Amino acid sequence: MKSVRYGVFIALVVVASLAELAIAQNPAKPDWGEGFRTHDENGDGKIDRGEFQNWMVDVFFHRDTNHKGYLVFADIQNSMSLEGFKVRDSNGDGRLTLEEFLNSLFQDFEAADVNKSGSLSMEEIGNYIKAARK
Amino acid sequence: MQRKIMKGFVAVVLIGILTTSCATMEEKPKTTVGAVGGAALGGLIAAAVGGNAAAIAASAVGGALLGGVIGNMLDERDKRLEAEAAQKALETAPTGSPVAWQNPDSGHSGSVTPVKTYQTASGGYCREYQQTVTIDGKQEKAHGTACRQPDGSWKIVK
Repeated sequence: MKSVRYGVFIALVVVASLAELAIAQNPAKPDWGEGFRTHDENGDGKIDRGEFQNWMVDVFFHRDTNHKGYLVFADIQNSMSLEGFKVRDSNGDGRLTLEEFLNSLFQDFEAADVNKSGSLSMEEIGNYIKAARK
Repeated sequence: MQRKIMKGFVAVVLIGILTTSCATMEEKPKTTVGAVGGAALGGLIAAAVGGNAAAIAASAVGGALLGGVIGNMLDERDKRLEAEAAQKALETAPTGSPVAWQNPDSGHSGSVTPVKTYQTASGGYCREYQQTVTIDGKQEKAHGTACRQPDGSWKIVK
């Protein structure tokens, strides 16, 4: 009986691992290049902090289903874990305000800005996203 | 004997899983604590293209987008088509993506393109837009700002 339970457990682990492998090998191709170009307002090939903020406000707006003025977990569950959402929801009301959202994303901006130029190239954003998926 | 081998294998698998998790946590640089993370950022910005469409309110944009001589040259159907395009553009179109309209009867056409989104202190949304109208081959451009009302309609404020 015990061996059956272990067998089921192992099967689950194997299935989960294979699923993870399949996801890793076929990551959804994000088409954010268009967003980058649109929000590169001065056309210098880089996104500075002001441009990044405008871009992220746009992201927030489009993720905010029915435009409530804030995000709930369901709005961004395909991009963020529940734990991640709760960490950013500082007052624990189940709502992520634009300010909380931007505070988080500007930390990504700083982390992605490897040469500390104060702006992000397409390559820097691509590398930052790629590194997280490894 | 078989049971012991099985137990040993399970233990190895569990240790493997736990070790991998710990390694992943430790490898993350401190600067990303509080950040959404690269994978999340990738998902968020990819979703911005195309947008997460909210239901389009039946009510149209309040007020004519284009006034003056050009505005007066639009007939009722032009104005309705223009208002519908504006509602769609402001409610669902990503920044930089135009929503076009065309009236085959009058031959007039145009587009509305959101160019910037912002949130007011009360949490409401406003969007700046650019608009074009083509009448008899002549194109006119205008720029304005509309804010979303609680009923889902957009009201021109500037």
